Amino acid sequence: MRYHPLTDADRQLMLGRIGVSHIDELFADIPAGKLQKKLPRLPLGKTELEVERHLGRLAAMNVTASEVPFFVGAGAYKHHVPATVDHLIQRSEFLTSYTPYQPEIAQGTLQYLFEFQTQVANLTAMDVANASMYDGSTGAAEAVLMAHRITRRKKAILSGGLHPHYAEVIETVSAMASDTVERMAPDVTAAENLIARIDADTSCVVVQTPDFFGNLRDLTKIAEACQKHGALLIAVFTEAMSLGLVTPPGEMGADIVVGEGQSIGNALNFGGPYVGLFAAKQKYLRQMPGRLCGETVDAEGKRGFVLTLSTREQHIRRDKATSNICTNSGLCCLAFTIHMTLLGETGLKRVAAVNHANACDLADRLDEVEGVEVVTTSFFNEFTMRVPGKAAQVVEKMAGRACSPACRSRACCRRRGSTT
Amino acid sequence: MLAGVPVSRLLPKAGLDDLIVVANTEVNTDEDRAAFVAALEGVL
Repeated sequence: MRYHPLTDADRQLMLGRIGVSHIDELFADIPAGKLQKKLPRLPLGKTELEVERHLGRLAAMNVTASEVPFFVGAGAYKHHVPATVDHLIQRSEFLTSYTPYQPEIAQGTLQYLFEFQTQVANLTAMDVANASMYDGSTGAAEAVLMAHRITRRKKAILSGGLHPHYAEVIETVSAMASDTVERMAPDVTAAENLIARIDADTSCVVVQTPDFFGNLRDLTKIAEACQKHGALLIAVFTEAMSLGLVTPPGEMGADIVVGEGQSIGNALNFGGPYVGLFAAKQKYLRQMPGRLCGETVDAEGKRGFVLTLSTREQHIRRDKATSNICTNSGLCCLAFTIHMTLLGETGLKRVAAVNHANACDLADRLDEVEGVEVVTTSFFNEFTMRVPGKAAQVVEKMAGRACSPACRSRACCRRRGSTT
Repeated sequence: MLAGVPVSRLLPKAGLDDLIVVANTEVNTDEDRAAFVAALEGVL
Protein backbone atom coordinates (compact mmCIF):
# COMPACT_ATOMS: atom_id res chain seq x y z
CA MET A 1 0.00 0.00 0.00
CA ARG A 2 1.37 3.38 -0.97
CA TYR A 3 1.50 6.25 1.49
CA HIS A 4 -0.46 9.36 0.44
CA PRO A 5 0.16 12.32 2.73
CA LEU A 6 -2.73 14.58 3.60
CA THR A 7 -3.14 17.97 1.92
CA ASP A 8 -4.29 21.16 3.60
CA ALA A 9 -7.63 20.74 1.86
CA ASP A 10 -7.96 17.23 3.37
CA ARG A 11 -7.24 18.60 6.83
CA GLN A 12 -9.78 21.42 6.48
CA LEU A 13 -12.41 18.96 5.33
CA MET A 14 -11.83 16.70 8.35
CA LEU A 15 -11.75 19.59 10.79
CA GLY A 16 -14.96 20.96 9.38
CA ARG A 17 -16.63 17.55 9.68
CA ILE A 18 -16.00 17.45 13.43
CA GLY A 19 -16.92 21.09 13.90
CA VAL A 20 -13.60 22.78 14.66
CA SER A 21 -11.81 25.44 12.64
CA HIS A 22 -8.23 24.81 13.76
CA ILE A 23 -6.39 21.77 15.10
CA ASP A 24 -5.40 23.71 18.24
CA GLU A 25 -9.05 23.51 19.35
CA LEU A 26 -8.56 19.76 19.89
CA PHE A 27 -6.07 20.52 22.68
CA ALA A 28 -8.39 22.88 24.56
CA ASP A 29 -8.35 20.65 27.68
CA ILE A 30 -4.65 21.27 28.22
CA PRO A 31 -4.20 24.40 30.41
CA ALA A 32 -2.88 27.26 28.31
CA GLY A 33 0.00 27.83 30.73
CA LYS A 34 1.33 24.34 30.02
CA LEU A 35 1.60 24.84 26.28
CA GLN A 36 4.97 25.81 24.84
CA LYS A 37 4.86 28.47 22.13
CA LYS A 38 8.06 27.22 20.56
CA LEU A 39 10.53 24.42 21.03
CA PRO A 40 13.24 24.92 23.64
CA ARG A 41 16.81 25.32 22.44
CA LEU A 42 18.18 21.82 22.14
CA PRO A 43 21.86 20.90 21.86
CA LEU A 44 23.18 19.76 18.51
CA GLY A 45 22.92 16.06 17.74
CA LYS A 46 25.67 13.74 18.97
CA THR A 47 27.19 10.66 17.44
CA GLU A 48 26.02 7.23 18.52
CA LEU A 49 29.30 6.67 20.36
CA GLU A 50 28.93 9.96 22.26
CA VAL A 51 25.36 9.11 23.21
CA GLU A 52 26.43 5.65 24.41
CA ARG A 53 29.13 7.15 26.61
CA HIS A 54 26.76 9.77 28.02
CA LEU A 55 24.02 7.26 28.81
CA GLY A 56 26.57 4.88 30.26
CA ARG A 57 27.79 7.56 32.67
CA LEU A 58 24.21 8.31 33.69
CA ALA A 59 23.44 4.62 34.24
CA ALA A 60 26.58 4.16 36.32
CA MET A 61 25.20 6.65 38.83
CA ASN A 62 22.52 4.13 39.81
CA VAL A 63 22.84 1.34 42.30
CA THR A 64 21.01 -1.56 40.69
CA ALA A 65 19.01 -4.23 42.46
CA SER A 66 21.48 -6.94 41.50
CA GLU A 67 24.59 -5.13 42.78
CA VAL A 68 23.82 -4.85 46.48
CA PRO A 69 21.60 -6.46 49.11
CA PHE A 70 18.11 -5.42 48.06
CA PHE A 71 15.22 -5.02 50.50
CA VAL A 72 12.95 -2.77 48.43
CA GLY A 73 9.31 -3.74 47.91
CA ALA A 74 6.25 -1.51 48.25
CA GLY A 75 4.48 -2.93 45.21
CA ALA A 76 7.28 -4.54 43.17
CA TYR A 77 9.41 -7.42 44.44
CA LYS A 78 12.72 -9.01 43.50
CA HIS A 79 12.27 -12.73 43.13
CA HIS A 80 14.28 -15.37 41.37
CA VAL A 81 12.99 -16.02 37.85
CA PRO A 82 14.39 -19.24 36.37
CA ALA A 83 16.33 -18.90 33.12
CA THR A 84 13.80 -21.28 31.56
CA VAL A 85 11.15 -18.56 31.66
CA ASP A 86 13.25 -16.07 29.71
CA HIS A 87 14.29 -18.77 27.27
CA LEU A 88 10.73 -19.84 26.49
CA ILE A 89 9.13 -16.39 26.24
CA GLN A 90 11.76 -15.39 23.67
CA ARG A 91 10.67 -18.05 21.23
CA SER A 92 9.70 -16.21 18.06
CA GLU A 93 6.14 -17.45 18.03
CA PHE A 94 5.53 -15.80 21.39
CA LEU A 95 7.33 -12.57 20.62
CA THR A 96 5.34 -11.97 17.46
CA SER A 97 1.88 -13.44 17.77
CA TYR A 98 0.31 -11.52 20.65
CA THR A 99 -3.29 -11.03 19.63
CA PRO A 100 -5.62 -14.02 20.04
CA TYR A 101 -8.43 -12.80 17.82
CA GLN A 102 -8.11 -15.41 15.09
CA PRO A 103 -8.42 -18.70 16.94
CA GLU A 104 -7.59 -20.70 13.83
CA ILE A 105 -4.00 -19.46 13.99
CA ALA A 106 -3.64 -18.62 17.68
CA GLN A 107 -4.36 -21.83 19.57
CA GLY A 108 -1.00 -21.69 21.38
CA THR A 109 -1.67 -18.19 22.68
CA LEU A 110 -5.24 -19.01 23.59
CA GLN A 111 -4.21 -22.18 25.41
CA TYR A 112 -1.70 -20.39 27.60
CA LEU A 113 -4.27 -17.67 28.33
CA PHE A 114 -6.73 -20.37 29.39
CA GLU A 115 -4.08 -21.90 31.65
CA PHE A 116 -3.21 -18.46 33.02
CA GLN A 117 -6.84 -17.83 33.92
CA THR A 118 -7.04 -21.23 35.61
CA GLN A 119 -3.90 -20.49 37.63
CA VAL A 120 -5.18 -17.09 38.77
CA ALA A 121 -8.58 -18.47 39.72
CA ASN A 122 -6.91 -21.23 41.75
CA LEU A 123 -4.45 -18.85 43.42
CA THR A 124 -7.18 -16.42 44.48
CA ALA A 125 -9.81 -19.11 45.21
CA MET A 126 -12.28 -17.35 42.94
CA ASP A 127 -14.67 -18.74 40.33
CA VAL A 128 -13.29 -17.05 37.24
CA ALA A 129 -10.31 -14.97 36.16
CA ASN A 130 -9.73 -12.96 33.01
CA ALA A 131 -6.83 -13.03 30.57
CA SER A 132 -4.90 -10.38 32.51
CA MET A 133 -4.98 -6.64 32.98
CA TYR A 134 -2.45 -3.96 32.21
CA ASP A 135 -1.15 -3.94 35.79
CA GLY A 136 -2.38 -4.15 39.38
CA SER A 137 -3.09 -0.46 39.86
CA THR A 138 -5.25 0.01 36.75
CA GLY A 139 -6.82 -3.36 37.50
CA ALA A 140 -7.89 -1.98 40.90
CA ALA A 141 -9.47 1.03 39.20
CA GLU A 142 -11.26 -1.27 36.78
CA ALA A 143 -12.55 -3.35 39.68
CA VAL A 144 -14.06 -0.22 41.26
CA LEU A 145 -15.77 0.69 37.99
CA MET A 146 -17.07 -2.87 37.75
CA ALA A 147 -18.50 -2.61 41.26
CA HIS A 148 -20.23 0.65 40.31
CA ARG A 149 -21.84 -1.05 37.30
CA ILE A 150 -23.01 -4.04 39.33
CA THR A 151 -24.38 -2.13 42.33
CA ARG A 152 -25.48 0.95 40.38
CA ARG A 153 -23.86 3.02 43.11
CA LYS A 154 -20.98 5.44 42.86
CA LYS A 155 -19.08 5.51 46.15
CA ALA A 156 -15.94 3.50 46.77
CA ILE A 157 -14.27 3.23 50.18
CA LEU A 158 -10.51 2.74 50.03
CA SER A 159 -8.71 1.20 52.97
CA GLY A 160 -5.84 3.12 54.53
CA GLY A 161 -3.68 0.07 53.87
CA LEU A 162 -4.12 0.27 50.11
CA HIS A 163 -0.97 1.05 48.14
CA PRO A 164 -0.92 4.85 47.65
CA HIS A 165 -0.34 4.53 43.91
CA TYR A 166 -3.34 2.21 43.58
CA ALA A 167 -5.46 4.69 45.53
CA GLU A 168 -4.29 7.56 43.31
CA VAL A 169 -5.14 5.66 40.11
CA ILE A 170 -8.59 4.88 41.48
CA GLU A 171 -9.08 8.55 42.39
CA THR A 172 -7.96 9.69 38.93
CA VAL A 173 -10.29 7.31 37.09
CA SER A 174 -13.15 8.10 39.46
CA ALA A 175 -12.71 11.85 38.93
CA MET A 176 -13.16 11.37 35.19
CA ALA A 177 -16.43 9.52 35.85
CA SER A 178 -17.62 11.88 38.62
CA ASP A 179 -17.69 8.97 41.07
CA THR A 180 -17.00 9.39 44.78
CA VAL A 181 -13.96 8.00 46.54
CA GLU A 182 -13.69 7.93 50.32
CA ARG A 183 -10.02 7.34 51.04
CA MET A 184 -9.18 6.37 54.62
CA ALA A 185 -6.13 7.78 56.37
CA PRO A 186 -2.94 5.69 56.12
CA ASP A 187 -3.41 2.73 58.46
CA VAL A 188 0.01 1.52 59.62
CA THR A 189 -1.27 -1.10 62.09
CA ALA A 190 -4.47 -2.26 60.34
CA ALA A 191 -6.57 -0.72 63.09
CA GLU A 192 -9.13 1.14 60.96
CA ASN A 193 -12.85 0.42 61.21
CA LEU A 194 -13.95 0.06 57.61
CA ILE A 195 -17.23 -1.62 58.49
CA ALA A 196 -18.49 1.55 60.18
CA ARG A 197 -18.04 3.47 56.90
CA ILE A 198 -20.23 1.18 54.78
CA ASP A 199 -23.70 2.54 54.03
CA ALA A 200 -26.46 2.33 51.43
CA ASP A 201 -24.47 4.47 48.98
CA THR A 202 -21.36 2.29 49.08
CA SER A 203 -20.69 0.31 45.94
CA CYS A 204 -17.46 -1.29 47.12
CA VAL A 205 -14.80 -1.45 49.78
CA VAL A 206 -11.23 -1.86 48.53
CA VAL A 207 -8.87 -3.58 50.97
CA GLN A 208 -5.34 -4.80 50.37
CA THR A 209 -3.81 -7.85 52.04
CA PRO A 210 -0.92 -8.08 52.70
CA ASP A 211 -1.35 -4.32 52.82
CA PHE A 212 1.08 -1.55 51.93
CA PHE A 213 2.60 -1.66 55.41
CA GLY A 214 2.82 -5.46 55.33
CA ASN A 215 -0.16 -6.26 57.56
CA LEU A 216 -2.07 -9.47 56.86
CA ARG A 217 -5.80 -8.76 57.15
CA ASP A 218 -8.73 -11.06 57.74
CA LEU A 219 -11.38 -9.89 55.28
CA THR A 220 -14.16 -12.19 56.51
CA LYS A 221 -16.06 -9.68 58.64
CA ILE A 222 -15.69 -6.91 56.05
CA ALA A 223 -17.05 -9.29 53.41
CA GLU A 224 -20.08 -10.04 55.59
CA ALA A 225 -20.70 -6.35 56.21
CA CYS A 226 -20.45 -5.56 52.51
CA GLN A 227 -22.93 -8.28 51.66
CA LYS A 228 -25.33 -7.02 54.31
CA HIS A 229 -25.31 -3.53 52.72
CA GLY A 230 -25.39 -4.69 49.11
CA ALA A 231 -21.83 -3.56 48.45
CA LEU A 232 -18.93 -5.54 46.99
CA LEU A 233 -15.63 -6.37 48.63
CA ILE A 234 -12.64 -5.84 46.36
CA ALA A 235 -9.53 -7.56 47.71
CA VAL A 236 -6.19 -6.29 46.42
CA PHE A 237 -2.66 -7.70 46.62
CA THR A 238 0.64 -6.38 45.31
CA GLU A 239 2.74 -9.43 46.21
CA ALA A 240 1.39 -12.43 44.27
CA MET A 241 3.87 -14.77 45.97
CA SER A 242 1.92 -14.31 49.21
CA LEU A 243 -0.88 -16.42 47.75
CA GLY A 244 1.37 -19.45 48.17
CA LEU A 245 1.05 -19.19 51.93
CA VAL A 246 -1.75 -16.92 53.16
CA THR A 247 -5.50 -17.52 53.03
CA PRO A 248 -6.65 -16.51 49.54
CA PRO A 249 -9.16 -13.66 49.28
CA GLY A 250 -11.81 -15.91 47.77
CA GLU A 251 -11.94 -17.98 50.95
CA MET A 252 -12.53 -14.81 52.95
CA GLY A 253 -15.58 -13.77 50.93
CA ALA A 254 -14.15 -11.33 48.38
CA ASP A 255 -16.39 -10.53 45.41
CA ILE A 256 -13.57 -9.30 43.19
CA VAL A 257 -9.86 -9.97 43.60
CA VAL A 258 -7.29 -7.89 41.78
CA GLY A 259 -3.56 -7.57 42.11
CA GLU A 260 -0.11 -7.38 40.63
CA GLY A 261 1.39 -10.53 39.13
CA GLN A 262 4.94 -9.18 38.66
CA SER A 263 6.37 -11.31 41.48
CA ILE A 264 5.86 -14.46 39.47
CA GLY A 265 7.87 -14.76 36.27
CA ASN A 266 8.74 -11.09 35.83
CA ALA A 267 11.72 -8.97 36.83
CA LEU A 268 11.45 -5.51 38.35
CA ASN A 269 11.78 -3.97 34.87
CA PHE A 270 12.28 -0.46 36.31
CA GLY A 271 8.60 -0.35 37.30
CA GLY A 272 7.00 -2.02 34.29
CA PRO A 273 5.65 -3.58 32.19
CA TYR A 274 3.82 -5.68 34.73
CA VAL A 275 0.70 -7.85 34.66
CA GLY A 276 -2.60 -7.33 36.41
CA LEU A 277 -4.47 -10.33 37.82
CA PHE A 278 -8.27 -10.06 37.98
CA ALA A 279 -10.77 -12.61 39.31
CA ALA A 280 -14.38 -12.51 40.42
CA LYS A 281 -17.38 -14.57 41.42
CA GLN A 282 -19.13 -16.40 38.59
CA LYS A 283 -22.25 -14.27 38.84
CA TYR A 284 -20.26 -11.14 37.93
CA LEU A 285 -18.63 -12.69 34.86
CA ARG A 286 -20.32 -10.53 32.26
CA GLN A 287 -19.24 -7.33 33.96
CA MET A 288 -15.55 -8.26 34.06
CA PRO A 289 -13.19 -5.98 32.17
CA GLY A 290 -10.53 -7.28 29.82
CA ARG A 291 -10.83 -10.50 27.87
CA LEU A 292 -11.85 -14.01 28.75
CA CYS A 293 -10.62 -17.13 27.02
CA GLY A 294 -12.82 -20.22 26.99
CA GLU A 295 -12.65 -23.85 26.02
CA THR A 296 -14.72 -25.26 23.16
CA VAL A 297 -14.57 -27.84 20.34
CA ASP A 298 -13.90 -27.22 16.67
CA ALA A 299 -15.90 -28.44 13.66
CA GLU A 300 -14.22 -31.85 14.00
CA GLY A 301 -15.01 -32.17 17.68
CA LYS A 302 -11.43 -31.53 18.81
CA ARG A 303 -10.73 -29.45 21.91
CA GLY A 304 -9.89 -25.83 21.16
CA PHE A 305 -9.78 -22.38 22.75
CA VAL A 306 -11.40 -19.07 21.77
CA LEU A 307 -12.10 -15.68 23.27
CA THR A 308 -15.54 -15.96 24.85
CA LEU A 309 -15.91 -12.50 26.36
CA SER A 310 -14.51 -9.40 24.70
CA THR A 311 -16.12 -6.27 26.06
CA ARG A 312 -13.34 -3.75 25.80
CA GLU A 313 -14.06 -0.44 24.11
CA GLN A 314 -12.15 -1.76 21.10
CA HIS A 315 -14.64 -4.63 20.72
CA ILE A 316 -18.07 -3.15 21.41
CA ARG A 317 -19.82 0.20 21.66
CA ARG A 318 -18.14 2.53 24.15
CA ASP A 319 -21.30 3.01 26.22
CA LYS A 320 -21.61 -0.75 26.74
CA ALA A 321 -17.92 -1.51 27.18
CA THR A 322 -16.53 -2.75 30.49
CA SER A 323 -13.12 -1.18 29.95
CA ASN A 324 -11.35 1.41 27.82
CA ILE A 325 -7.88 0.08 28.57
CA CYS A 326 -7.56 -1.88 25.36
CA THR A 327 -4.30 -3.64 26.02
CA ASN A 328 -2.52 -5.89 28.46
CA SER A 329 1.04 -7.14 28.86
CA GLY A 330 0.81 -10.43 26.99
CA LEU A 331 4.47 -11.39 27.36
CA CYS A 332 4.42 -10.70 31.11
CA CYS A 333 1.27 -12.82 31.33
CA LEU A 334 3.04 -15.64 29.50
CA ALA A 335 6.09 -15.36 31.80
CA PHE A 336 3.76 -15.62 34.79
CA THR A 337 2.12 -18.74 33.36
CA ILE A 338 5.41 -20.46 32.57
CA HIS A 339 6.89 -19.72 35.99
CA MET A 340 3.73 -20.92 37.74
CA THR A 341 3.83 -24.12 35.68
CA LEU A 342 7.46 -24.71 36.61
CA LEU A 343 6.76 -24.13 40.30
CA GLY A 344 3.50 -26.00 40.61
CA GLU A 345 1.51 -25.80 43.82
CA THR A 346 4.26 -27.47 45.86
CA GLY A 347 7.01 -25.23 44.54
CA LEU A 348 5.00 -22.07 45.08
CA LYS A 349 4.29 -23.02 48.68
CA ARG A 350 8.00 -23.75 49.26
CA VAL A 351 9.12 -20.41 47.83
CA ALA A 352 6.45 -18.58 49.82
CA ALA A 353 7.56 -20.35 53.00
CA VAL A 354 11.18 -19.29 52.41
CA ASN A 355 10.03 -15.70 51.86
CA HIS A 356 8.15 -15.67 55.13
CA ALA A 357 10.94 -17.34 57.09
CA ASN A 358 13.50 -14.87 55.73
CA ALA A 359 11.33 -11.89 56.63
CA CYS A 360 10.75 -13.22 60.15
CA ASP A 361 14.49 -13.69 60.59
CA LEU A 362 15.19 -10.11 59.53
CA ALA A 363 12.42 -8.73 61.73
CA ASP A 364 13.81 -10.61 64.73
CA ARG A 365 17.29 -9.21 64.11
CA LEU A 366 16.00 -5.67 63.63
CA ASP A 367 14.03 -5.84 66.85
CA GLU A 368 17.39 -6.14 68.62
CA VAL A 369 18.72 -2.89 67.15
CA GLU A 370 18.52 -0.06 69.65
CA GLY A 371 16.03 2.61 68.63
CA VAL A 372 14.39 0.45 65.95
CA GLU A 373 10.86 -0.94 66.26
CA VAL A 374 9.26 -3.45 63.88
CA VAL A 375 5.71 -2.11 63.80
CA THR A 376 3.99 -4.84 61.77
CA THR A 377 3.03 -7.83 63.89
CA SER A 378 1.56 -10.15 61.26
CA PHE A 379 3.17 -10.16 57.83
CA PHE A 380 4.21 -12.30 54.85
CA ASN A 381 7.54 -11.06 53.49
CA GLU A 382 7.26 -7.33 54.06
CA PHE A 383 6.93 -5.21 57.19
CA THR A 384 7.26 -1.66 58.43
CA MET A 385 9.91 -0.54 60.89
CA ARG A 386 10.22 2.72 62.80
CA VAL A 387 13.63 4.34 63.03
CA PRO A 388 14.92 7.33 64.98
CA GLY A 389 14.77 10.53 62.93
CA LYS A 390 13.91 10.79 59.23
CA ALA A 391 13.50 7.40 57.53
CA ALA A 392 14.38 8.86 54.10
CA GLN A 393 17.77 10.02 55.42
CA VAL A 394 18.43 6.62 56.98
CA VAL A 395 17.71 4.90 53.65
CA GLU A 396 19.95 7.36 51.77
CA LYS A 397 22.79 6.89 54.22
CA MET A 398 22.50 3.12 53.99
CA ALA A 399 22.60 3.36 50.19
CA GLY A 400 25.69 5.53 50.32
CA ARG A 401 27.72 3.47 52.75
CA ALA A 402 30.97 1.79 51.69
CA CYS A 403 30.31 -1.67 50.42
CA SER A 404 29.99 -4.64 52.68
CA PRO A 405 31.20 -8.17 52.03
CA ALA A 406 27.66 -8.81 50.82
CA CYS A 407 28.10 -6.46 47.84
CA ARG A 408 27.96 -8.41 44.61
CA SER A 409 29.47 -5.90 42.22
CA ARG A 410 33.09 -4.88 41.75
CA ALA A 411 31.92 -1.97 39.65
CA CYS A 412 29.80 -0.74 42.57
CA CYS A 413 32.76 -1.02 44.95
CA ARG A 414 35.02 0.88 42.52
CA ARG A 415 32.47 3.69 42.26
CA ARG A 416 32.30 3.99 46.02
CA GLY A 417 36.05 3.70 46.58
CA SER A 418 35.53 0.69 48.81
CA THR A 419 38.48 -1.52 49.64
CA THR A 420 36.23 -4.47 50.41
CA MET B 1 22.54 -1.47 50.60
CA LEU B 2 19.04 -0.71 49.32
CA ALA B 3 17.24 -0.92 52.62
CA GLY B 4 13.59 -0.37 51.74
CA VAL B 5 11.15 2.38 50.93
CA PRO B 6 10.63 5.30 53.31
CA VAL B 7 6.88 5.71 53.69
CA SER B 8 7.30 9.47 53.24
CA ARG B 9 8.28 8.87 49.61
CA LEU B 10 4.78 7.64 48.74
CA LEU B 11 2.85 9.40 51.51
CA PRO B 12 4.71 12.70 51.90
CA LYS B 13 2.06 14.51 53.92
CA ALA B 14 0.99 11.69 56.24
CA GLY B 15 3.36 12.47 59.08
CA LEU B 16 4.91 8.99 58.83
CA ASP B 17 8.43 10.23 58.19
CA ASP B 18 10.04 7.75 60.56
CA LEU B 19 8.78 4.58 58.86
CA ILE B 20 10.50 2.31 56.33
CA VAL B 21 8.75 -0.53 54.46
CA VAL B 22 11.19 -3.44 54.21
CA ALA B 23 10.77 -6.47 51.94
CA ASN B 24 12.75 -9.70 52.24
CA THR B 25 12.31 -12.38 49.57
CA GLU B 26 13.99 -15.68 48.77
CA VAL B 27 16.85 -13.85 47.01
CA ASN B 28 18.13 -12.39 50.27
CA THR B 29 20.73 -14.42 52.16
CA ASP B 30 21.79 -14.60 55.79
CA GLU B 31 24.76 -12.48 54.77
CA ASP B 32 22.44 -9.85 53.30
CA ARG B 33 20.39 -9.68 56.48
CA ALA B 34 23.48 -9.43 58.64
CA ALA B 35 24.78 -6.65 56.39
CA PHE B 36 21.42 -4.86 56.67
CA VAL B 37 21.54 -4.86 60.44
CA ALA B 38 25.19 -3.79 60.50
CA ALA B 39 24.54 -0.97 58.03
CA LEU B 40 21.50 0.23 59.98
CA GLU B 41 23.42 0.21 63.25
CA GLY B 42 26.20 2.09 61.51
CA VAL B 43 24.04 4.96 60.34
CA LEU B 44 21.85 5.36 63.44
